[in-house]
Amino acid sequence: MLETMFGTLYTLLSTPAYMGLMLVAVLIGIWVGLTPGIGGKLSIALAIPFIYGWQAIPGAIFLLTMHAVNGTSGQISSIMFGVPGDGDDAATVLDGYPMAKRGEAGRALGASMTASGVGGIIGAIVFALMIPVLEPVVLAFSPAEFFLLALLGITFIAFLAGGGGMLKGIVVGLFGMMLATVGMDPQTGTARFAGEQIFLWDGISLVTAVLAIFAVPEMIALGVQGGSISAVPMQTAKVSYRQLLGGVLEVPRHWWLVIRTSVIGAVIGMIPGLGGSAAAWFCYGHAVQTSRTPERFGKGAVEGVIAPETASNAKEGGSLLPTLFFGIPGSSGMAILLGAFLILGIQPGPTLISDNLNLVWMLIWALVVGNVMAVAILLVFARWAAILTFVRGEFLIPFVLTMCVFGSFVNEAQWQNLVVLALLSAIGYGLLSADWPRAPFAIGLVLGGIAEESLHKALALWGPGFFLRPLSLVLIGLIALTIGWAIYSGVRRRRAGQLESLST
Amino acid sequence: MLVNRRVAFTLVMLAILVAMVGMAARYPPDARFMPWVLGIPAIALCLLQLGRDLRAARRAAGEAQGERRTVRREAAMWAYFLGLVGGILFFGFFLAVPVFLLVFLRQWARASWPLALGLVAATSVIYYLVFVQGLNVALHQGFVTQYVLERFAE
Repeated sequence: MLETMFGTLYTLLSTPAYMGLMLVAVLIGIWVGLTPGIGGKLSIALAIPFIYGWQAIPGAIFLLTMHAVNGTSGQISSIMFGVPGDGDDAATVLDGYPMAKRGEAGRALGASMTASGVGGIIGAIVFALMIPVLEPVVLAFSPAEFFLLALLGITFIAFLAGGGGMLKGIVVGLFGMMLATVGMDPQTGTARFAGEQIFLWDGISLVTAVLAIFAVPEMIALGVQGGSISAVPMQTAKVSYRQLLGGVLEVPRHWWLVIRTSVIGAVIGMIPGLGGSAAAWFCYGHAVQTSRTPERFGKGAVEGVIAPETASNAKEGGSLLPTLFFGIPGSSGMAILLGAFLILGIQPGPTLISDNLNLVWMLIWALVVGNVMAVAILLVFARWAAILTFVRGEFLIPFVLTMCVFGSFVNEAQWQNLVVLALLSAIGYGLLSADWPRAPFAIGLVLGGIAEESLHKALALWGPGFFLRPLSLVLIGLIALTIGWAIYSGVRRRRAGQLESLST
Repeated sequence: MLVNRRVAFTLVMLAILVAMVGMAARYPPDARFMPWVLGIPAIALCLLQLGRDLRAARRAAGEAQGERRTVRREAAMWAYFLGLVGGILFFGFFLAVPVFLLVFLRQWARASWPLALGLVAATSVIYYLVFVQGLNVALHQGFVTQYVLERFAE
């Protein structure tokens, strides 16, 4: 174990190709985090065509590093302009923006970037520590449990949508799984939903589907909405190095808070469906509760910047755990990453621990080294990086759309995929504009094939009573609990709304 | 308005699911098993969602719509995207992509001629180097372009 652990670190650091790839991935990740309109999910979807044909390890390192450093740069707009890049950064606004308004933007940025980097590293360490504990648990899973795990994954991700969105999320997840059945049925050799279209016999291209459901609708929505992220004058984007250094030193000064929130973030990341926003808000609350001067929070307390940033980046390490070992993505970004891993030939599941521990360690080290690189680069270039948030959406759209069509075509070199891209984009835009969650679709499409194969195997082994196995019953219980909790929260929210309207 | 955007989309989803379940009925039992296991509950849940959307639409009926501008911009964006896809299918990547970039940057993004031309040239070179030289992909030539080239070759 120790040999693999340090051997992979040595390989990573001593292979110029890996380090070069990571540097490129970090730069792209930072750019994606800073630029309005391109989220972490979108960046993975757009990067898939470029890693097509790569070997598993460099491809996975590239994508994971790019995804992991998104959050580190995303906080710049939260702090400087009060505009969070995504849900994970929203908690940072509460104290980061007041700090910027009183002229301490540099201190807030220094603290948040360092905290984010340290959080990412501690998250990876927590993940690494879990490996020996997990091995026997993961190996106890059979085909019956893997079928139920696929359903659980969709339920968890649908739960992310919250309240009434859960129903839509489950429908979208099942639809994704239905689309995974397009093509030649492995049991009977029947061409399902493919008719005479031979290009569909291998199924719908995952890259095309992901681009159509996430990237194209996002760009069309950006075009409809128009404008850039900030209405603040560009002069506001200036920060001094002295302030940045002061902020960096705040992290060791609050080391105990950093460790606590990182561990909490990593653990929240391991629970599929809770996501980065939950980690950030939970740890923000924790920082307020444990502070001796809670009245400073919301007015520019540096701990209010450190706590959510460490948590939201530490959760990346944690969410990698269910993604890799159970095939259940810990977050929507991980759902697309999971699809990309499949394209690279990495089959998530219990065998990763026994057969491919090298890859697992390589990914852990990629998280650590990638975060160190991102923090170093951002601290040097933060002064200029903020300017990227002023890019107008209209200038991004044509380039992202052309990358989508290239990506869709390059994957299989079939022009028909462009037609599929256009059709699925219409569904993707419908999902977006009607406020349906899209992440369950990606999970459904990715896990559909595995679920079908597992279901057939489970039926062959144990018959229809396969779901009475103890572990299966636990998973069914978890699915029921998730759905029950969503219904209960929905009812409670509705009642609270009714009471509020009665009182006003 | 009873049928708003959300109701319409739920109906579309329902139609797709019903069509898929219906198509699966023609397959052998083992082949239709999974589509039915997934599709039938999905239809039931979609009907439930439709009920919720209709109730919400009835409550929202009479509220100001004011989304004509949004629809116009959506139509324009879709025209650009479908134009790009159609352009590639008929005229190929080498012609359609630079033309699309130039038209979009000039018309939609209101970029100046030098900026638009510079961006188009730089992007085309990058795409060529990455996809044609780097990844060795034989990009689609386009049906019309291919036909014309074959005619010229004769």
